[in-house]
Amino acid sequence: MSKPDLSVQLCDRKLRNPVVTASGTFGYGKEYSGLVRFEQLGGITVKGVSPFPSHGNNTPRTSEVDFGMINSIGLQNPGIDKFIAHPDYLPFLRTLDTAVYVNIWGKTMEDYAEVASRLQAEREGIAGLEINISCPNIKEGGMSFGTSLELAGKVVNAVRQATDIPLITKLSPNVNNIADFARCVVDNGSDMVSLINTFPSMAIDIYTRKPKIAANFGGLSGPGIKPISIKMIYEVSQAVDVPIIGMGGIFSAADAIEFLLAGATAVAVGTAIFSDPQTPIKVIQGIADYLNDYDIKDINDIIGGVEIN
Amino acid sequence: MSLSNFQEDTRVLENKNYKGDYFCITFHAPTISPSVTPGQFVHLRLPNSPDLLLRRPFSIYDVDTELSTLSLIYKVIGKGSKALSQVSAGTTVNLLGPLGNGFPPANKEKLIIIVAGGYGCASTFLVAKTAVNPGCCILGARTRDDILVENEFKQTGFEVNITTNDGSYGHKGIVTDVLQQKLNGLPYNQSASIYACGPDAMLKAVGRLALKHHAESYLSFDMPMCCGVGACFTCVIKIKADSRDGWEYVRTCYNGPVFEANDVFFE
Ligand SMILES: Cc1cc2nc3c(=O)[nH]c(=O)nc-3n(C[C@H](O)[C@H](O)[C@H](O)COP(=O)(O)OP(=O)(O)OC[C@H]3O[C@@H](n4cnc5c(N)ncnc54)[C@H](O)[C@@H]3O)c2cc1C
Ligand SMILES: Cc1cc2nc3c(=O)[nH]c(=O)nc-3n(C[C@H](O)[C@H](O)[C@H](O)COP(=O)(O)O)c2cc1C
Ligand code: FES
Repeated sequence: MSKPDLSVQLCDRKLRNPVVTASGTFGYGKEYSGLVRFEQLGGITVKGVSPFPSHGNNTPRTSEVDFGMINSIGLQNPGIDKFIAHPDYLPFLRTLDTAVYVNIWGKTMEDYAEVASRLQAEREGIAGLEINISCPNIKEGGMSFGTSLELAGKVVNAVRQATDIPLITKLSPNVNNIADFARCVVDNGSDMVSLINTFPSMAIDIYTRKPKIAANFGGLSGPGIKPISIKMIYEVSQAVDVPIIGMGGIFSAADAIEFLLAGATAVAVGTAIFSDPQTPIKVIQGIADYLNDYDIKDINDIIGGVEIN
Repeated sequence: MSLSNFQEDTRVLENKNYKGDYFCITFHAPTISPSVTPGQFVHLRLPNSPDLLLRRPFSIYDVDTELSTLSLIYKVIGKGSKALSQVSAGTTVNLLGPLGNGFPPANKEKLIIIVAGGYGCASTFLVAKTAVNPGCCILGARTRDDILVENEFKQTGFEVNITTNDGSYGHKGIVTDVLQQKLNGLPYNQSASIYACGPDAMLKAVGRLALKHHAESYLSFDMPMCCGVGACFTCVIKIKADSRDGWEYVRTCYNGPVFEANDVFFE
């Protein structure tokens, strides 16, 4: 049997398969060297980078909950200067045989544009920028950009002015109509969209009566959010014509195939990596097996293939 | 940060109740066990517990390089450790390891003093086992039932001192009472190297005392973890840095769990 073609096109970049890692769950790549075969992955997305170094939130920052986890890391990162210059970050990422997406964020519109223009000057080895307008864990910026159509449009526009690197906008699920946001960011120059980011959530220790997360609230990820993600991806796929990177609770190839059928061109694995760092590789193998079982030669034949009742 | 991390399906050889809430589990781990250094840990995926999404970190208590085994000593405190206590011999358990930067090798000229609170004895035992010149160790716990591996430490040739908060065994008080005596009693031409693992408050007290006596000290921090390899920024502690605040958050799983007391930013 010939091997099915797993490659997908994300703007100007062809990925060997549709599986990438989700931002914030794969560090800056280096942390998994020795454990994960980068050259088998479609791509990786690195932790959010801002113009300034950021401490992030107080600890504890994560808590396991039923069917998922809550995190409130608060986007700790070394800042753009160190990200560009230090051998553990961009110089290391450039050596990898996989597509590298850089997740970016800021507190103001200008912050977003600044990171983008700095990376424009250093664009070698960067397949795309993922604009994070949907982080529930920072007080300023973050999700407030992702839950206002006006601000979302402006921020994407500002980044678009600063760079011609392909742009992915990461959408927040915490909105009434996510399709409107997808249309808005695409109209403002985003080449692709990714969804979903985490849901604001809370867990309480009943013995101490304290929230389990220092920041009180955090973002919910993992298997529990998967059905919501799939519906949102379906809705967005009906609204825009750009590639969609789907994520939210993918733990298996079967999960990933659901996302592809709902309309995602690529999928990102996040929380599942903590459970098993081999999850992305297993998902890739499982998708290939599925295509073989159904004698499908090209993965693109299942993208958006859901047959709605 | 260790560059030789492995992911291995290991087989449980034995999982026995040590005493009270404490268990000792031994894995056949031919890939991970040869490269373990004292103070490193494994990150363990609980078998048959799909609801426990995240791995659990445990210090490597002992290794047997001939039999290719490694053992952990753990306390049942929640869902994960409870599930672990129910794993039977023959079960396959997936481990990541050996993770983290452990304790540096001891300088032969210095007196090694191990200070271990509760299950902190697990992460420090290999320090004693591999030491060229035996030193002394101070095992502290709340009560007699929480004093572990006393005989094992004795067999390494280390002098063993016990403290319990309630006085049910050994000196009534805390580990720093004995540490203070030991440091005060050092001959003028002898310096000490302190290796400590235990609750945060204990580490802070040990670090302070060591700094006061100009003794080098290495502290191993147990912070709640998620990825265990440096990817998620869950497990951070404050380390001195020339930033605006004088500190930065550093990942204990990646840059630690062992840090020199001098580098730690104690509030
Ligand atoms: C480097 C390191 C070495 C350790 N070595 C040992 C050891 O040798 N023996 C031993 O008994 N315990 C050790 N621990 C603590 C052990 O990891 C926790 O007791 C265990 O994770 C608790 O899991 P649980 O599901 O039973 O408890 P729960 O409270 O139900 O756990 C819920 C979550 O909190 C995390 N968590 C809770 N308490 C701790 C803690 N103290 N440290 C880290 N994560 C925690 C768990 O990983 C899990 O994600 C170590 C921790 C670290 C970081
Ligand atoms: C610990 C953690 C850190 C994260 N950090 C980021 C981040 O820096 N930027 C971002 O856009 N998303 C971040 N996310 C969100 C994930 O990329 C992803 O959108 C979300 O977790 C849903 O996917 P999952 O269920 O597969 O984890 C983070 C998620 C987790 C669990
Ligand atoms: S536990 Fe993820 S960085 Fe340490």
